[in-house]
Amino acid sequence: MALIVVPTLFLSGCDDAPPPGKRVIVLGFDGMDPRLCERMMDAGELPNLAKMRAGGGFSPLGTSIPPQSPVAWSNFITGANPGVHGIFDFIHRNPARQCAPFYSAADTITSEDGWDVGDYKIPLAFWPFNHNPTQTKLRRAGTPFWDYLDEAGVPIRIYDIPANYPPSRSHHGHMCCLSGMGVPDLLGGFGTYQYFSEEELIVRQEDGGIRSPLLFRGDSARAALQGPRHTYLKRPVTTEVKFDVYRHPTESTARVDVQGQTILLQQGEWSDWVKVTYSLTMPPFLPDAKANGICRFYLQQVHPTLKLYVTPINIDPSDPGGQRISEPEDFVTRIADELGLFYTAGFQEDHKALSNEIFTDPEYADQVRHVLDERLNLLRFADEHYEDGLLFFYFSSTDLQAHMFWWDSDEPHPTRSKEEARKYHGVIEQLYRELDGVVGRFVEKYGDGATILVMSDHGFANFRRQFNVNTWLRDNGYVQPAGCKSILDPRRGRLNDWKTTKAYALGLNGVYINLKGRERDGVVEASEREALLEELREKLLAVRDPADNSPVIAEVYRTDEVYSGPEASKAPDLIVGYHRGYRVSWAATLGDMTEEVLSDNHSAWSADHCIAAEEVPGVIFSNRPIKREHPALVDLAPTILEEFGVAPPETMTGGSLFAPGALDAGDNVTDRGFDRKRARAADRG
Amino acid sequence: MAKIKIDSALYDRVKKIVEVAGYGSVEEFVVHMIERELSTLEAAGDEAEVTERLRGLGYLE
Repeated sequence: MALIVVPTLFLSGCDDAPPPGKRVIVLGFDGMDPRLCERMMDAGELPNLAKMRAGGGFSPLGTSIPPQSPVAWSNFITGANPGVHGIFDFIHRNPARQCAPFYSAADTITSEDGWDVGDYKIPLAFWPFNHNPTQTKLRRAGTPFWDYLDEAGVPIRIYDIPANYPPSRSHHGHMCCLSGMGVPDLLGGFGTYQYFSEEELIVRQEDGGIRSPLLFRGDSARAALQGPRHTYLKRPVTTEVKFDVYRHPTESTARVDVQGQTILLQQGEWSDWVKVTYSLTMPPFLPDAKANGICRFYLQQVHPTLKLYVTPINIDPSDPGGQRISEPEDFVTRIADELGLFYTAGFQEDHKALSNEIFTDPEYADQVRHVLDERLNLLRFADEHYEDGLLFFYFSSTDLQAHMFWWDSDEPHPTRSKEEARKYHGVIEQLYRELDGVVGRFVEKYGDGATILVMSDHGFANFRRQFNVNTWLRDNGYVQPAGCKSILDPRRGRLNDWKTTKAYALGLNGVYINLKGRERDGVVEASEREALLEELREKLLAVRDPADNSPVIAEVYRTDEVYSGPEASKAPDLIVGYHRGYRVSWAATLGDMTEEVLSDNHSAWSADHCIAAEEVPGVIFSNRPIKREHPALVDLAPTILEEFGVAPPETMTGGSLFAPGALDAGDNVTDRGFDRKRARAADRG
Repeated sequence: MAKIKIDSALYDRVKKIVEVAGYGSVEEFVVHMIERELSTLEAAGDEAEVTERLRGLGYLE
């Protein structure tokens, strides 16, 4: 009798999937603050983050100089300082056009090419025309860390990452990325709402929105949703989509009809996402082009006057047309196929509506709740479609809710009573509790099978007093003449004289020397630069608030000391680092002056972080002990690479969180928030 | 240098404004007004549009 041995492999192993590869999960909570985290962990309110802390996996995280989201996230993405990635602020200036400002992270290059036909000029990208179309380019320089993972074959899934629009290309096909902060709305801005009200008399633009009258005939009115500019016309026009509003004569309900869609709303109700298609007419022998958007309607009031709010028109994720907001291009449509419609604009929270007093606090709380709910839905998608490799997921709520609701002291709030200020700060605390739960679910699911990082790009502080740095420069003789009102916008008043102006400020933290040979109208000689920089630094540090003699400015960084790399020469000369409680004034950011150098902030945007890096570090939590001393944003990219066995390149100056080490004292690098403060304290003995 | 004639009544109106608004002279005011209008007209298009769009950023205004 023969023994037949049946190989067990044949019976059992064929369908077994290979074990998952290395997993690294990074949850990015924009603006999550270590001081608030510590207080809440100590009070037992963030159990999951507290557990990470108990395991040695918590530290404040050194932020960028300056601590602005596009700068900080670029530090994270490249593992290097702004001298390498070239993002120094939200707003940069063009020295060849003397302080002309532009958005730092993306550049739209308008093309003059086109086929001239009647009223139209149409770019035709194919042979033999080969016109260059208008393009938007990502301005961030340097190499994103995921390129190295892509090359090594590591799967990469990135959701809503800031400072990556248009998304960088995946050279080896292993990356899927949905762009976040920086993606425009369909009108090309950062989020322009549209507000229709019987109380408005004329159409007027305001920062972040358009108000229009609603003229009822009986109980019906017709209005129009503005869309993108039709730039194929030689005389570009703004496109629009007409809609009708019917209000119930007695009940607080209304109906909106737009492009064949009927929306019934009660007062106080938000609609679901509604598709709107803008037609870009073409010459008769070409089909019309289309721009596809989505928006939500909010019926704020019906009687006695009807008020209807419409969110910014977002790019339609189910059919973005020519807009590239994900890599690969169809990643966003695959998400929409499963989830339906969702916010695609980089700034999703309608904070402008609150600042401009269209929303009340509860209405803003409602709208931001919807944003958070959508993000949580997207997170579920991300988790369900995640096998191994890198998963990065971003939340904006901790930042854009905090800008409007954070207030962590009993000092008078710009717009709220003490009780109301405490109540709304409580909204942030509740948010932290909810996100702690999100972290807990990931830790529970992946446990020791993944390296889990929870990080933020910066912390938060009250914004109580505003400092007009351009007024200060003018009053101290650096901007001339003494009576000028703006360096940029003649509608604000008399412009300065560049021939006698030595320094100017633009953006949220930058001061530029009007250097000869660099600025178009520069007058300061190279030989004078050093003395001028030191003089400005000393004087700025000496500024005291006349209200209570407090120091206003904690640090003045020279970019030739804190930045190094090929892009450093484009940076402002000085970065002003304000103390908690202070920030640059609203007017100064685009070059305007006010009468007073220092005044109260009266905006509903009552908290900020564009101050000294030492004042607003971010957080880093991990499910493994953090061994690196004074970790900073530039350490995260090398950490992630090393987790996948990929050697970090020379351009990355940081090191793994999980190995002992620290940035060299001699490193000419930013992100040394705590280092600098402690070093300075040590120097003073 | 080109010379421009203006109505005396207009000149008197300008003179009153000049005293209040902090200009050194009527000439300075007139030149500034012309520069201002030219600037708006010349910058109409990309640059002005960029600046206006920037004002939509929450951090700015």
